[in-house]
Amino acid sequence: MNRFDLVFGGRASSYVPNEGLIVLLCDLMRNLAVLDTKVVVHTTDRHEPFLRKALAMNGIEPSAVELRAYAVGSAGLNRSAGPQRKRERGRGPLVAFLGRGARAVASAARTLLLWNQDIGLGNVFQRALVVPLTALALVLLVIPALAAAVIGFLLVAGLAVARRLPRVGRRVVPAHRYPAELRLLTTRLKAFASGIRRDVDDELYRREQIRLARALNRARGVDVFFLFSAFEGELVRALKRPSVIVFPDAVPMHFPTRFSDAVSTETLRQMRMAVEHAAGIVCYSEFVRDRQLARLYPEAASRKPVAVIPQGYFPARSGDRAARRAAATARLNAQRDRIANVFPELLRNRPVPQFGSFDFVLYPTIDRQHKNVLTLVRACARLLRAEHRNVKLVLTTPQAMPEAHEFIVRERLHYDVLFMPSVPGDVLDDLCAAATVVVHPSLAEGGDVFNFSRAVSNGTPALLADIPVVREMFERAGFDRPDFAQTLFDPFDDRALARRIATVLDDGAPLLAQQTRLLSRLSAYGYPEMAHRYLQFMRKISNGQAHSSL
Amino acid sequence: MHLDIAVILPAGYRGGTLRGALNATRMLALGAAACGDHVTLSFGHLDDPSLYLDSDFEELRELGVRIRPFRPQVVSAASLASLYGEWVEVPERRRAPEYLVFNDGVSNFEDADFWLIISDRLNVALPAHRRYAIVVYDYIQRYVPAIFGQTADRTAIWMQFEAYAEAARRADFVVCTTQQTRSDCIGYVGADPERVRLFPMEFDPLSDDAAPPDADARPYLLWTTNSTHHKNHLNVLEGMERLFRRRPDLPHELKMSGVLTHLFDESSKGEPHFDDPYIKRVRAKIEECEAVKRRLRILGNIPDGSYVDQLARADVLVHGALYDNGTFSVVEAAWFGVPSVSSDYPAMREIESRFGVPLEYFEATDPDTLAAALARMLEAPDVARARLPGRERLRRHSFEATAPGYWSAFRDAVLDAQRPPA
Repeated sequence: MNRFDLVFGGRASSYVPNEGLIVLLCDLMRNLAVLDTKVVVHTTDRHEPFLRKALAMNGIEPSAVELRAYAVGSAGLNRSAGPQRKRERGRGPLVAFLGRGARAVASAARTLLLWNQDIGLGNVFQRALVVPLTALALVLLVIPALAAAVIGFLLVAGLAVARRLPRVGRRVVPAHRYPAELRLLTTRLKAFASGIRRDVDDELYRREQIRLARALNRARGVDVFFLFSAFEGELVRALKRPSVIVFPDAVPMHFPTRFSDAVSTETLRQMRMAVEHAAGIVCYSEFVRDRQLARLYPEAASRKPVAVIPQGYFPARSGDRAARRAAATARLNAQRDRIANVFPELLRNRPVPQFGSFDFVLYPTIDRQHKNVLTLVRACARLLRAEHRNVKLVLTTPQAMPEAHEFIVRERLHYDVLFMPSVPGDVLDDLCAAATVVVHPSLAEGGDVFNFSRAVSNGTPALLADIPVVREMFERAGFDRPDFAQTLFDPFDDRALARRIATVLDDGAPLLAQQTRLLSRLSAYGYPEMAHRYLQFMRKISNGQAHSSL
Repeated sequence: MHLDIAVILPAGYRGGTLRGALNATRMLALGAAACGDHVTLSFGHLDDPSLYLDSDFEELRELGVRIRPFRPQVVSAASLASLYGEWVEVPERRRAPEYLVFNDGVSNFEDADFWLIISDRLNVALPAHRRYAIVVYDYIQRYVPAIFGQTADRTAIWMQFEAYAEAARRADFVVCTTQQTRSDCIGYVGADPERVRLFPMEFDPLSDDAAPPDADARPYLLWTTNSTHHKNHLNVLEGMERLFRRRPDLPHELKMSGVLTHLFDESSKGEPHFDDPYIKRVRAKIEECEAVKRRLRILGNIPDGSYVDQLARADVLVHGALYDNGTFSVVEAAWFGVPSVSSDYPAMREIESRFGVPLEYFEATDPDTLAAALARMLEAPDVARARLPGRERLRRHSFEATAPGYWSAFRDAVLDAQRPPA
């Protein structure tokens, strides 16, 4: 029996369970099991709860994998996630404050307990010096600096209040400037505080990775570790056995200003370290390998084995589309409580429209800076408002990026843009089957767009943004552009997209027939084949057979 | 060759600047097609439904241009530091403490190879990694500083201009349409001469047709202007006064049209800028010029269609600016067979020479020369009309005809900008 050792970590304690990478990881695990491979998932106690939830949501039996959770997680990183914070805020400031406080105390206690794991023979003397010196620095520098900051703040605030009081005589400086200065001071203080917090988190994450590496280095029977991302450079460097990492993509390099403040220097440092220390690298597409990895890390990319392993395809299916659609629609109507109210400023209750009484466009995605939800919303708004079509847009993201959110609010589209976040695979299949068309307007992906095969497999045509990875998906299977041109659209032109959707709304059958033919060839490479290629690559790394690419 | 270009109008312009931006985009599209090049074009404008209608951009859409509204957003250099440090190459000279982002909610125009920014009105630097060209129209304040205001509280405009000048200096290349503005961009702003390019100027008539002439109506001179200082109202009014005093037999009215010119009429009291010191001086001057006052009709800012009707029926068009990048109104007048009297400054000489429109010049600061020029022209109006170029000749400068030259100039400048330094 084969064995596949997968390491699951990351800075966050939890992710969205139906996010592309998580879904793909679960698909891999499921299909490795099909290939009679024992999957061992190594993780931290911090990630374990999420991992169990993600496996369950993605239809993986707990018995299908062996989960090993090591008590090495940095509890300080285990902050409440957005929804939890929102819930607490909803219960009032006191509950929120107490909740935060309780977690901080628990986390500090746990961090102190974990410290003994960070001290080894190699650094005990160093730490013996560092701790007292840090304490001294705190007393001599930080405390006076904080005191000065507080005094300064009080002075400025006092001055501002004094200036605003009614007084006789000439004002030297307009009073309205003071609030602006105060705001600036507050902003800077907040930035300073968040900077310290970020540095502390970076350090906690680095320590966690080293502790995890130490635990993994003690694990028996492991030949090669597989990491599903490239964010854990410290871990990869500290592992004594070879590791294969996935370099999913480097989208921010193409759209830097969309990602301002979203990518930290520490993240990029860790990625560089992971690429440099991994024994092998997996990319999901040639585009990422050649245009991102090779450009950003030319030396590592040319020296190590890099495998391009695209994700598998859902099978092409024939059958009665109408019947499948009707059944899916009926099931969806029983799932309408999954529709979220993301517009509390406009809605007291979630919208509850009856599926089947309207056409809908589906975009299964977790919205990010490059996912281009706005263009799709604009296109759908045009279909609705200019062409008076009875059409809605259904998104599976928990919330849209601010620009799309603001547009929906400004145009009052909140009854016609529905959010059904975090749906499990079977509900997503139903959404695909019941939709009139699946649209994927994203400007960039790391690999093939699995919305295509999922949609067509469920009997629904798909429209995809004309971007390099999408073209690569078809060209890799030997298709020429005319074969798939009807599937593509310009992702920067909402009017053109509206026209394309309108054509499908009028009659989607010709496009579906064409796409079913495309999928018939594509799906010769299914998920088992994909899992097999991972195994093959891992074996090669294990055997030290380095190839520049697969 | 394939280029992906975003033409961006960074501020809420309408009127001539919007028209110029639309024409530049059309010329890039048509020019590339004529030269066998492939271009993908986006047009960015402020996301302000109260300012722009969908129909404003219909002609661009027909050419396959993608219309993309955006909101300006300022981001700090720190927020891009990680990407600039690791993943994105940035020339050192382009770094700044903060950057202006055209946030369209899609890609912030990062998909484009090159940006063409229409006008230099950028308060904040553009992102350091972006390649861009910038169109500058003129530097009037170099010659007429009063246009920026002279009182202490207006010094902020000069500080702001520093940012505009910096935007031109940081550009990969600057687009000018007159030698004079090119010379100012180099000599005044300090832009690298290698990077300041002269592009061909197009002529885009407002309309082909105008209302038929009214035989019974009183003849008139049309004075196209606006309310700002560089339009030289005091000298023009004085020149007109001298003309009408010397030639009381002239039956002509004087019609004044242009943005905010209604403020020169006492009836606009209470409106913003009514009490602006310069506008008050012009009103006082009108009161003083009795002969002019009797004949003056202030039309204000009239729609294009009405303007064309007024222009086509005028005997003479008067343009009296102290300085600018030249005005197309004299070419527009020639299109309708109306001769023009113009103040003499370099950009108008360039317009005369490029479009072959003969102008009767006067010295902008010498009212007597204006009176004399108008008198000469009104003496023999048919002679002046006969010297005007016909429509066929002017059509040689239409945006369709200019497009290949405009595109070639743009393409060559982009290629030069992309070439690594020797």
